[in-house]
Parts: sequence; structure tokens; C-alpha cells
Amino acid sequence: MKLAGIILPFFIGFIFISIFFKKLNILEKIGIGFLLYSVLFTFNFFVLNLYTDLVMNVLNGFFINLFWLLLAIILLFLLRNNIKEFFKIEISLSKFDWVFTLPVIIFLFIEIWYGFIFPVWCWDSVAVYDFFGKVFAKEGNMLSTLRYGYFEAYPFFVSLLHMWGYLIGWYSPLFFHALLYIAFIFVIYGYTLRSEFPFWIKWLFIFSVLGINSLYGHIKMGFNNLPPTIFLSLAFLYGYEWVRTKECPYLLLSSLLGGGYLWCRNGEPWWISLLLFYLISLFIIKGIKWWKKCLLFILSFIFLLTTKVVWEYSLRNWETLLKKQQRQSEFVEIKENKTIEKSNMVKKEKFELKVLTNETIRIISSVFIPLQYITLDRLQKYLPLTIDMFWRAIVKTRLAYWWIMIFLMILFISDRSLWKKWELWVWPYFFWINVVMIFVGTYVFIQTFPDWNIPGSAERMSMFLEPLVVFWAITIIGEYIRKIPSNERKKLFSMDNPMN
Amino acid sequence: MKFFSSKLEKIVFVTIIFYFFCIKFIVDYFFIDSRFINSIILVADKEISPSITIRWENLREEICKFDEISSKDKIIYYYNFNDYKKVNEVKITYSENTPVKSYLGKKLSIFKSPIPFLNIKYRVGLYFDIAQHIYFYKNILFFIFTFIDIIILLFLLKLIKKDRFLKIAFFVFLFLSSFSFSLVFTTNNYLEKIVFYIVCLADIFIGTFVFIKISGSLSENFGNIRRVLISLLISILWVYINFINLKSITTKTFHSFFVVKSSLWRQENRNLYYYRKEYGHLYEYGKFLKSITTNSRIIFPSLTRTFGNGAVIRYFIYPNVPVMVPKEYCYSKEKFVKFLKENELLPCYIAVLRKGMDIWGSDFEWPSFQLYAKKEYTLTNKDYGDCIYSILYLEEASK
Repeated sequence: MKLAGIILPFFIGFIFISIFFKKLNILEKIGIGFLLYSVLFTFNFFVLNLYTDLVMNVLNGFFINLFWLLLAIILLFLLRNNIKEFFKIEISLSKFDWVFTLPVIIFLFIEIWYGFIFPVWCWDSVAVYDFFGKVFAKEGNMLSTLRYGYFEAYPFFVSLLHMWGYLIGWYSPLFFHALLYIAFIFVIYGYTLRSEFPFWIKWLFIFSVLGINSLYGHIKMGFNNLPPTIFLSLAFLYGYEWVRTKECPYLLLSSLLGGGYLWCRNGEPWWISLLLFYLISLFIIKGIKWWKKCLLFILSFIFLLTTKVVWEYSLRNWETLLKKQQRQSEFVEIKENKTIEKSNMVKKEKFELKVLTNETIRIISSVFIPLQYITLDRLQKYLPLTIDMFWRAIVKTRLAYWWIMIFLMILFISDRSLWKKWELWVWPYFFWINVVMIFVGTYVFIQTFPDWNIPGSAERMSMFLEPLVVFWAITIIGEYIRKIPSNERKKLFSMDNPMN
Repeated sequence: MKFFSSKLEKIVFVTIIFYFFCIKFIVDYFFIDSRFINSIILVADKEISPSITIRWENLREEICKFDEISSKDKIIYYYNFNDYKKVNEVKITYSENTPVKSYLGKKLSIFKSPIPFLNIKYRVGLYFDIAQHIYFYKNILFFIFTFIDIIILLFLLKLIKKDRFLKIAFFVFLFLSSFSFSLVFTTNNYLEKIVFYIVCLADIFIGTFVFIKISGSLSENFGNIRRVLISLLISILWVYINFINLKSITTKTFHSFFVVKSSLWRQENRNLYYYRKEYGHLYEYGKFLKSITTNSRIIFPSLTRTFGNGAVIRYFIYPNVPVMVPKEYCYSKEKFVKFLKENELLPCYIAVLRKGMDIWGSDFEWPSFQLYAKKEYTLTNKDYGDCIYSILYLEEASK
């Protein structure tokens, strides 16, 4: 049971991704399959428990898995897929590749092993994510959130994943973080294998991603920072892939990964950059019929925002929980020395389209809330503090990546041939729009939470900037390599396949 | 291939190397690294009397009082912690709930007053993360130094007549090395410094190699500027990723050894390894509490970082629920009893905090007043400093 609980998400996810995204490499399929299915699985648990009172136990978990497995198999036969193609391995590794691959595998295996044998011990995870995972597993429901209080900015992805780890019998669920990271490395590895990059650029890319220490370090911590960074980074990567290849499945894949991100963290506004990007890219890309564009936008909108809308809607509507709460009145306890105000939780709205639409409109319009904080007086007062905080948390902690970004910008601005390829604007767009949002967010946060002084937290939430810079750098390098005539490339790529 | 075309070039090259490896070393090491940059805290309001707590690197805490100085018609409170070299954190608390202006900075000779770096109106108290601020100032200084380096290098490189492209390559990597050294010298650990120094040199070597190789290959297809930029991009990526990886590979390897070694331990020892390091006695105390009672409310004082944090405690005592007593109710019996009555908490269990149980505030003991408990449960943890764990069961608080 212990192993089945881990292998099933990989397997079911793999089948689904193989059915809908055929062009991906097998490693990408495994990686993305696991990432997206873990989102789907935990989201199912959350919705079913909240709205249908489904008890969170191992049996129901396997029933959910079984449901999706059956659906995957039915789809497999209905859509007449060639199953052999799913498992077609298009990987030809040279001896030199293996020299690089083996230490990577060893280090990653060590991290999984660590996750199996060591308990969750880092502060935030003990206090929030793992605590609720453990309690959900023991109580079979989410009532403990009423008893202890919860942060609305963190949906239950990590807690429910931990819960599943406990339910299937593992001592510690920390290994799930290692698995998520490995899935991420699989996707990057698969992506490079699919690309036209020469040998050394591929490894430069893989090592650059592996070299992002902040991500690697988070495997052991069990925080809610590694999973959202992985989802968001991949949403950016496949967003770029969509405009580069103009193939619609990549757009949908990007929005699904963006939705996965929003199931991990709800508070930060990075999703705006994705939504705007989908809108702009659909306007700019030619050769797709207008109705198809509309359909694509609606689908990507739904994929991106479903988890957020349902989470925020559920937060305001704990009706199902409240019913139970009334039955078990002893659960109304002390929440940090304050009794929970019942009136705040009673919202007798039904789970219907109209309510969901209102919720979506509210979420979109909340983007403009920060405008009220931008006055001359406030700017004078809070801008120096914002700059200080921004420097300490966002810039200083990843100076190397800012250096690379500066060179990328110089290269980009100085070379007009790069301007003309509009798909290359994707990276500076993602980078700068999110940097501006971080800055504005810090500025607003300092005013709304005057006691907030946690640069570490700000650093962790902006970890996605690091893979973003790496993706950007590799794209630009790849772009220049394409410009070199093929007969002259040999000179540059004399290191290509050194063992061949 | 003859590398230098004239004696002058050789001299210039040697001068550059000398400058970076000797002079910068001396300047960085003796001038910047040993100086404590943030040394004074000033509080400009005279109406209130602040107190200051300094947290040392080894987590000891010391409460200090502000001195008074008169400046013209103003009275300013200040605290000079120039002698404390390894201060990590400074917390200023004020006696009243009044907005206060605080400055953290250094009184440099060219400025009459300290550079106001932080000027915040705070309601209750203010934390300064000293280590962070030192790093900030140092980075600014390094940036200025690096800028001076560029000018000196440009001047020196002008004297070399060799290929302009190679000149730039040299310039860039020496500049990068300067920056890398600057980063290296922010650490206080000597062994780390030596290791990082070697890593930096390896970086510069690899980076230069990649740079020259790529730029040579690109020469037929791109102009000079683009050649430089592309090569720079790739080599910087190499340099930094290499730098970061080399630094972390040692950590990763040691970590791997640790994981393999600890696989042979008992699960309980693995738990204790981290829990003791991070939470002191909380894990073992939580186990003790769970052996006494389940599904009860247990009163904890909000006095220390671990034993005063309800969110952490609940993890270790679940399914019991912690009830945190606010600080102001912790010191007198009357206030504490009032708190229990107002919140209808009786009967309840009361956690007893002894010296050394919370590693983040080891001097605290609680309750500091006498309570007439109906029952007291105790256990001595012989594995961990013979600490005595207690819990009181209180039925009524009127006695």
C-alpha cells in the first residue's frame, strides 16, 4: 500500500498527459503527469470532503485514484491511442551524459531517502503544513482549521499531500517534496532532450537548474515554497513553448500548471502575469481562427483560475463545515486566545455558477486595490523602506541571477535581431512584470502589516525568479546558436557528443 | 604563442594581478571585514525611555540601557554597541505605546550625525537584524570599490596593445573575481574563506576558458560587441552556477554521508537529532504531556520563542490543544487567575517551563508564582540534562 500510494499518482498522471500532450518527451510526461495529478488528487479530496462529507481516509483515497485510473483507461481506448507510443523512449545518452547523470541521480536519491526516514522538523512546516496534514489524516476531515485557524493564502496542497503520505503509512511525508523536485528535473531534462540544443548547452541548462540552491535546499524543509515555484516556473516555460511553436496544447499545459501553482499559494498575484500573457499572445499569434482563440482563452482561464476561485469561494462558505461544527460543539475552541466568530463563517450561498462568476469578478477586480496606497505622502514615507526590504529579500539573496539578468537585458537591448522575434519578449515580460508586482506588493504590505519584517518569507515566495532567469539565458543562447550556419556550428560545438 | 608582446604589457599584467590578489585582499580583509559598520542606535524622542535587547550569535540575550546625550536643545538616547562584534539582532522596546523615531547607523567622520538608514515610526517595538544591515552596507561599499576597480583596470588595460578582445576578457574576469572576492569576504569563517577563495579562482579560470573558446568560435558570425555579450552570458552562467554548485557540492556530499550514517539510527534518535536542535525540550515534553492527557486544554505562557508559540506547541501535544496566556498575564498570580476565569478555562492543565527547556530563552521559568494544583505530574529526562518535566492540574484558582 505504501508504494502503491506513490506509484499510482505517477502512473495515472502519466497516462493522462500521454493522452492529451503527445508531443512531450517521456520524461516530461512522467514529471508533468505526477505534478498535475498530485494537484488533481488533493483538490478532489478537498472538494469532496468539504461539499460531500467524504471522509479523508486511505480507502477513499484509493477510490479517487481508482476513479481516475478507470477514466484514464476508458479515454485511452475511446480515443484509440497507440499505447506503445506512450512508452517510446527517445533517449540516447552518450557515455559523457551518463558521467553527468549518475551523480545527479545519486544526490536526488539521497534526498528521497532522507524524506522517508527523517521527520518534518522545519519551523513553518511543523507549525502549519505538516501539522494540518497530520491532523487531517487523524481526524478524516478539515474541522481542525476551525479549531486552530488557518491562513487563507495557503490552499491545502502541501497539507493534503502530507496527509496522503501519513494515510498510506509512511512515517514522514517529506519525501513528497523530493518527488516533486525530481518531477521538475525530469521535465527540464525531457525538455532539453526534445530541443535542438547541443550537448554542452543541454548540460549547462540542467546544471543551471540543479544549481539553484534555494530550490534544492527546500526539499528538506517541507515548506509551501518549492511546489509553487516548480508549478510557476513550468507554467512560464510552457507559456514560452506555446508562443515559440504556436501549438495550442502548450498553452493549455501552461494554464494547468498555473492552476497547480494557485492550488499551492493563493495570496501572491503572479497569476496575473500568466493571464495577461495568454490574452496578449492569443491576440498576437496569427493563423488561428478567432473562435478557436476565444475557446483557448476561456479554457486557459478556467484551467488557471478554477483552483483559486473554488478555494476563495470555499473560504467564505464553510457551510458544510459549520453543519458539522454545530453537531460537535466541542470543536469551537480557542483560536489564539480568541473565540471564533461564527457569524463570519456563515455564508449561505450555494455552490452555483452565478456565485462562482461573482467570485471570479471579485478576484480580477482585487488587482486594482493597491492603487489606493499610491499617494505622494505615502510614497515619501514608505518608499525607502520598500527599497530596503526589496534589496534585502529579493535582490541581495540572489545577486548572481541579477547579474545574469543585467547581461541578458544589455544583450537584448543591444541586439535588434532579438527584438524582432516577439516570442523572445516573453522572458523579460515575465521577469519584469513579476518584479514590479513584488515591489508594489512589498510597498503595500509594509503599510497594511506594519509589523511584517520577514525578508526570508519574501525571498522564498520570489524563488521563481531564479529558474526564470536561467530559462531566459538558455533561450537567448539557443537563439544565437540557431543563427550560426550549420557547417560552422561544428567549430563551436567541438565538444558535442565527445564520446561519439 | 607569445602572450605578451612587450615588457610593458608584462609589467601591467603583473600589476593587475598584484592589485587584485594583494591590495584588494588587504583592503577587503583588514579594512572592511574587521570593521563593525552599524554601531549606534539613536532614539530621538526624549519623552520615553527605551530599553534595548541585544541578541548575540550564540543566542545569549543581554538587556542594555540607553545613555543620554544632549545635542543643542535636544536630548537623544543612544546605545553604542561597537564592542559587540557578533551581535545578530537588536530589539528595542519602548515603555509606552508611542510612535518613536529610531536611527541605526554609523557615525562617520564626514557626517555630523549617524546616517539615518531606518527611520520608522513603530508602535510597540522595533527589531534590527544587524547581520543583514552589515551585509547591506558592505555590499554598497563593495560596489563602490568595484567601480573604482573598473576605472583602474581601464586605465591599465589601455597600456596593453594586444588584441582588444582579449583585453576585455581579462577586464571582465578580473572584475568578476573582484566581485566574487567581495562576496567571499563577507563570511567570518576562515576555513570557508580559504575554500571559497579556491572556488573563486577555479571559477575565474573556467570562466575565462569558456569565454575565450566561445568568443573565438563566434568571431566569424557576429560583431565584436555581440561576441563579447554572448560569450559573457554563457561564461557568467558557467562561473556563477559553478561557483554556487561547488559551494554546495561540499554541503551536499557531507549531507549525503550524514543521511547514509543516520539510516542506521533508531527512528527516535533521528527525531531527537533535529527536534532538540530546533525546539529544545519541546518534543520530549510534548510526549510527556501526551502520556498524561489527551483532548485537553493545556495552558502555556507566551514568554519564549518555542514554548510561547502556540502554532509550534500544538504540533507536539496534539490532540491536546494549547491555550496561550498573553505576556501581561504571566507575571502575577492575580492577573493569571483573572485570565483563566474570564476565558472559562478551568479546570485545566498548566505546563511548567523550567530553565533550559526553551533553547531560545533558556533563562525563563514559569509559573513564577505559587499555584495550588490538585495534581502535579513529573518526569525526569535523564537523557537530556536531567531536566524535570512537570504539568499541573488545576481545578479551581480561588485559593
